[in-house]
Amino acid sequence: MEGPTPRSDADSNPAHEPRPVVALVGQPNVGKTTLFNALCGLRSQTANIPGTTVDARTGSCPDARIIDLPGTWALDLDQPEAEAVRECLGGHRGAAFTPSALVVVLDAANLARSLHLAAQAISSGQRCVVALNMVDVAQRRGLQIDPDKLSQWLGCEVIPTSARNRQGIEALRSALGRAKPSVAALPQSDDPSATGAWVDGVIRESIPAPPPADQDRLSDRLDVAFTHPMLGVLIFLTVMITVFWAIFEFATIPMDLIELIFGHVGGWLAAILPDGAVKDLIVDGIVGGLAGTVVFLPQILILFFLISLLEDSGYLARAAFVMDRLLRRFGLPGQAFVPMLSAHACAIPAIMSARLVPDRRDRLAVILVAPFLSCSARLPVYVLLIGILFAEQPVLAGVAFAGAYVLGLIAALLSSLLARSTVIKGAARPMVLELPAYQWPSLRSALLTCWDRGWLFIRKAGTVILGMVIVLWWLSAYPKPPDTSPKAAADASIMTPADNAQPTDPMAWSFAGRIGRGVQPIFEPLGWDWQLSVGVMTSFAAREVFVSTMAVLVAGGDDTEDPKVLRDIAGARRDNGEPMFTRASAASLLVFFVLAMQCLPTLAVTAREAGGWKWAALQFGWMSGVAWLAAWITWLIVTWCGG
Amino acid sequence: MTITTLDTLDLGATATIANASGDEAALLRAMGLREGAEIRVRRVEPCIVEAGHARVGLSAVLTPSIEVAVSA
Repeated sequence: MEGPTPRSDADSNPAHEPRPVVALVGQPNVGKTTLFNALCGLRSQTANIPGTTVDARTGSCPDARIIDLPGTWALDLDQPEAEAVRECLGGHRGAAFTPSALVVVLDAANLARSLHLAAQAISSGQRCVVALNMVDVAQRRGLQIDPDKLSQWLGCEVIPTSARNRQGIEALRSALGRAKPSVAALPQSDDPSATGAWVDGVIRESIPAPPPADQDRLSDRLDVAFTHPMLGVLIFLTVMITVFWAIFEFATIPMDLIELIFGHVGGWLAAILPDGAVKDLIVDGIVGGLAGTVVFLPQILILFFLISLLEDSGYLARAAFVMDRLLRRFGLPGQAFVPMLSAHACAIPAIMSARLVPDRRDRLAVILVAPFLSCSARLPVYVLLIGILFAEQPVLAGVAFAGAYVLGLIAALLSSLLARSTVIKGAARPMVLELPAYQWPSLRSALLTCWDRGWLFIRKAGTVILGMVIVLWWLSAYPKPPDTSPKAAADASIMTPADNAQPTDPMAWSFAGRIGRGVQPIFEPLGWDWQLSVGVMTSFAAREVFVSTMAVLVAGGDDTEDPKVLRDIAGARRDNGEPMFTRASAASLLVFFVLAMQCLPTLAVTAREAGGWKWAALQFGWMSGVAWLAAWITWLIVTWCGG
Repeated sequence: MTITTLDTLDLGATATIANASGDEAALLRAMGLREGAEIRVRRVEPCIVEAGHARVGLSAVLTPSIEVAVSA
């Protein structure tokens, strides 16, 4: 066993005195994060607990550095959150996550249940203070808890708090310095009957008056509707479609604004910088790459704001419970429906919202299959290809559109089923879910969640994602085609590539273009020529790039909103004069785009959320393989049908 | 007292947890469904029980493995 790791200088105050590191420990739904927000506010950030796949929020208040450890029902469970808390309490996760004192957070409205974890945490020998949180809810239910009696049983100071109302926060802050190890006789966690008897004793003495019978008729009526096998699903679909609509509707203006700002910045830099590789790197690589990534930020903020409201209200737990029966058949937990629906806007926030799924293996399944669902970046490609396939046939075009979405959903569900029998073996964990009391959601908490998720994404966008986008931009931009101006032509006889590429097509001349030509034999069975292969290769940076690449390659312009350019693409010819887009090649291309993983930022987020690049590699390999196979079968069938 | 399993209880029935076995037993205890805890069935399908003031939703996979004692 490793010993506790000494704290670094970074944790010291200006007087070089060690600053206490206080960890909040508690079960889910006890208001632990609300308490953390009340203590730290915006002075916080999310960080990965080293050596785990679990995140914790860290922050500071005037008296201490605070760690909001993940909520766990007990310390002895076989769950990542429980393991992470155990490791931190044992001092095995580095200085930043080694607490010198604990705030054990109890739910005053559900005291008996909270005591199970409290006994385990307090008996760890750490200096402790107990926050008896949600006392306002307990009082509304007629529960009168005696903090002094509770303090005697637990052997440490008990501070009544209501984090939502910021009640008792100052008292808790001042108590941090008085935290000390408990001297009470606490039950051993491996003896359930002793724990049960101890809990009964604590409740009997701390709550002298027995609580009145629960008369929460409104909650009963809401539960009847929200957890009904049919009505509950319909309500959930309505709620999530509204969320989905809100993401599209309200994100449009800020997304346009972000593009406008980056466009102006790019234009200004292009005007002041001298021509050359450095200018290309800054304007097209860095500014262009950042723009293409940060543009997703409004969708992420809106999604997490709305999810936070739904979660805080108590509704989301009911919805997850209802969806569990349906999704379990495919090895997915009920909570998967939120990421799966939001993946239709963008896979990046969808994968980030998979944190709602408590079990790591279930979460992995969700992360791996979510990108199969048709995101908004696929839409321009669908519009182009379905327009080619069913020009002047709006009904068939509509069916094809719906079919593309259904195909993605089927692929996601079947892939999950396969994953649960191979790489992440086992059925989805049976759902045991606390259904928290209904309450008005906290706007402050929702905004803080937005801030936290948004900042996490920005940090990621500014590092790994930007790096990957720059590499792909470089592959698409270099080397430049030779100068074919009359002057240059007069100066020298220009070399022409041995292949059939137009020498002035920058995309065809680039490394990405050459790779596209190199891998063309792989795509040939799908009915694609070298130009389509180049278009597909460049779209691995982002799917929508396909349309602009094809515009440059075959239409000589990049205005993809110009009907003439789109008509030119549809009517493009191969080098041998045959149409580039036959029914078979367009259909196979459409199926490929529905199923293939062509989004580097999504892969970066997958690697982060799943806990390693091997999962991103698996996702890429599996989705690309399935896409190729399905596209090939499509080409065979449509060709056989005379397409 | 009669021992039966949770999946056999009707809406509104009250019972005492007698034994929770299986992989999720530790989790159930930590969530308040420990031996000796009184519960009330708030919904049968899907199963929602109330223990104290907490409501817990249970997958249909789990309810047959939870033994409860009911008054005869």
